[in-house]
Amino acid sequence: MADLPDRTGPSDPTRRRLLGLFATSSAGIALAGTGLAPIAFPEAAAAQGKQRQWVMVIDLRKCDGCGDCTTACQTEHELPKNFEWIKVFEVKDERGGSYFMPRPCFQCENAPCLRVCPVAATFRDDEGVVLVDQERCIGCRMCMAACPYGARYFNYVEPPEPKHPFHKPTPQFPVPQQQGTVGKCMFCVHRTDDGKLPACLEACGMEAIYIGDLVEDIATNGNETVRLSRFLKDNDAYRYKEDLGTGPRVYYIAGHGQHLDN
Amino acid sequence: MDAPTRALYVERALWPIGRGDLRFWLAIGLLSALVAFGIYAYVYQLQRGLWVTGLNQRVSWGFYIINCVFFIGISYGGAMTSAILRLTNARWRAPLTRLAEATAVAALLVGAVFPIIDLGRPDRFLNVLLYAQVGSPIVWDVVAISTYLVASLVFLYLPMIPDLAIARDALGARAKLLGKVYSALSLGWTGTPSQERALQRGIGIMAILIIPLAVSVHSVLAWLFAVTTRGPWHSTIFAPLFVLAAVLSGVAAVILVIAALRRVYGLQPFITARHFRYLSYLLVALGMAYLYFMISEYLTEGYVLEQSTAPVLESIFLGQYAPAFWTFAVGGLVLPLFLAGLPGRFPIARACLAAILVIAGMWLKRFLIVVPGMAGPIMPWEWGRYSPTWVEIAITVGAAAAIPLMLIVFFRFFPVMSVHEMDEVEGVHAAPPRMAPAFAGGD
Amino acid sequence: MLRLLGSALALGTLIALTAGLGNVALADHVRVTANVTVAPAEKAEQGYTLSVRLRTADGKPVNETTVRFYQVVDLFGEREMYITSVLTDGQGSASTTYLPAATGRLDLVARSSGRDHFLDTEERFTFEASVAAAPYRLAPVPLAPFTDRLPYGVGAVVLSVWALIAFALVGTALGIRRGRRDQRHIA
Repeated sequence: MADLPDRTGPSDPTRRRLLGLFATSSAGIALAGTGLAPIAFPEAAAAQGKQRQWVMVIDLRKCDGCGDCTTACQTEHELPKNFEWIKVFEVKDERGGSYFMPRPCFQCENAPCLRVCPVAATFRDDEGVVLVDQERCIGCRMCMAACPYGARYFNYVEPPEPKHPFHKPTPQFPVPQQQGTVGKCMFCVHRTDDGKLPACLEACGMEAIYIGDLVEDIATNGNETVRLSRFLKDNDAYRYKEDLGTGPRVYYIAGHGQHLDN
Repeated sequence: MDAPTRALYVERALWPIGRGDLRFWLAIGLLSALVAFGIYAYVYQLQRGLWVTGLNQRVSWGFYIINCVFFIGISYGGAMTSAILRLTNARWRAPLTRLAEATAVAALLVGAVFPIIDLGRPDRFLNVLLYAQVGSPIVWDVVAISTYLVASLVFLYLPMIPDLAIARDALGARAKLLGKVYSALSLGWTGTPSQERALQRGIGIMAILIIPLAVSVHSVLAWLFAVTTRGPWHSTIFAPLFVLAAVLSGVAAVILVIAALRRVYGLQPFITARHFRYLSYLLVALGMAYLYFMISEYLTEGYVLEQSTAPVLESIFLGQYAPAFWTFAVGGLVLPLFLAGLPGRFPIARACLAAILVIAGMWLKRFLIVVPGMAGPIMPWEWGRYSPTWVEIAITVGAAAAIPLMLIVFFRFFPVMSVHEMDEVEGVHAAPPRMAPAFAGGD
Repeated sequence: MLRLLGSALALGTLIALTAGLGNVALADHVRVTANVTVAPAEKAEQGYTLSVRLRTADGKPVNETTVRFYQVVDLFGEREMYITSVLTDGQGSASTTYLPAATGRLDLVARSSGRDHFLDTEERFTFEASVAAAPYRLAPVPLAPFTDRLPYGVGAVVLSVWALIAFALVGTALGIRRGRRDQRHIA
């Protein structure tokens, strides 16, 4: 029987609940069920200590499509070149103009990828970040089929030579990646746990990426710090394809790079 | 059915057992070579990783998932012939049931292996049992397919018990080991009324059970796609569509199997043009129902042209995937309907041709569901691309060859037609099995 | 007489000049103090009223000056979260309402950027907030009471199917074994 992987930080109580359900129902064979609610989320305490609920805001008025965020992420996580955990799309509108849209993983509150994973290799930690346990992942790629945003990447090949050969990867810092499993943006929890800003945010020369906390209602792009709810409301922030019911944790401020000239 | 006919029936049913002529070994050799090539390709993939396939970040499901759905669909011929025709008391089914049920088990075994071939970490397959998440369609798959496999095996075995008793007696002193196996498996069948009652009850339960089981398996396979948010997949008609497609391809497979083995085993006296005509009618009815489902699906999508479905729909009807689609629609669906449905000469040949077209068309349709659905833009500005490599093609060919290989090997040891079923529909209460004279002196 | 007038004029000019110069000297770098008070707002859902009063050293009000409020937060280090800005009126006063995100001890900063000859000033103040905005709650998943129980129902169905299959197989096998002894059969 495989060990539960080593998790830093509080373990997910609902995984145990599901395991208990499994154990009591039938000896060793899974039950057929239908769409269970995604792994239930423990209620966020009102700013006790630093119980965060991470959220990102991306200001499209400032994005110039340079791709430094993508490169920084790939460097930080020792990824192959076609792994764009944060991917910058060039969106063309009907009038022939275009704008740039960086897309990290949206860490959906009602994540389709969480629901469909047969082994709970992908799970949400208590800060709202969706992580992947690459020790448990069987590589069925159902999560990739289910993600409406194409934010998950499968390790078809052996990842590049690891720079820290003795580092044992964890879901919080999945470096190096494992061939045959799925990886994705995890809001750099290995950095945020250490009080450091995510790699993409630090690399963004236009300060277009904000990281925020829904509990304390604050967000910062490394320079400015704003009241999150007010910031979102004043700028009419939206979430991408939220009508699918995914509850994404990344907000966009609509724009086409108009603040780049400032 | 008079006694000589029945004797001939029994003789023909047992004829392939132990018969290893040149044709047999040639077939075994050829099919084994193809299967071995497929296994070699899989080992190649195991050693290097999934990059040897044509899969990529955009299209992460391809041939293997298509084949899983396809081969499990083929297995539905067994459920149809044995269960549905039994429950509707279609007497003409009797010589076909054994062939259909054996094909079903073989196809199911092959189809069920494909999700494992598709895994990135097949060494961790047991995780699905250890950490099963009841909300995951993959887990539903494992439960449904394993249950259906067990049920199909039981449904193959139970009606075979009386035949095994006949084989045990007919074999006589010839093959001691095989005789012992028959004895054990036939559980001491002597044809007494209480035994008959027990058997009927068991078969009756399985016949009723196997139909909802079959429906559940392909529904679950359909939900693998339909519970995602991809426009072309997220459709309520998927489960009924998949079940219907499975029964359609299953009936086509049964037509092909009985056409081939009938000739090889000399079953012509009992499997006649009449059977092919009836199976053709079934094929036509199912094909028309499938056509209706498809029209409903495409009309609903095509009328509204939502952003999530319109690009894929366009690529299927007019764009990149149009050749595949129209080949399937015309060659694999409409043309077989005419071939099989119109009265005329050469019913067997026409039925076979229609069956081949239907099976090829069904494979294409599964391709058209999986690949454009994956390649279609979800972030609305980029299409994916997919072209299979030799690894995927080799494994597909090997899997396809494994089915006739398993059938030929199976019928080397087990009766190819169901004597008991024929007795049942003929209303014959057979005497305790005696040696079939024609066989006793056989080679 | 003329000499008196002349000296008076000179003295007056001198005084005026000195006073003027003194005024200019005084007008450079006028120190400003900000006096901040926090009180519960009129309506409870508005939170608190932050009032600021800008005065020079000799108590003169400083008007038409922007004052920005910040809250000190810890987000990847200590940062100042911008709240809002107000403009002082003729009395040098301005106020705004503020509903904090959480209760507890809050560290706020009022910063005036100065205007003309008025210096920047900054005032840090702390208050204990007992009224705050509603905490963030995850949206409940629809149908959760139903989908939580559904696996049990489906599991029961699956188990009964397995039981039926087992019964069909084992029951038939046993029935056949037992039925052997029944020698009556129709020839």
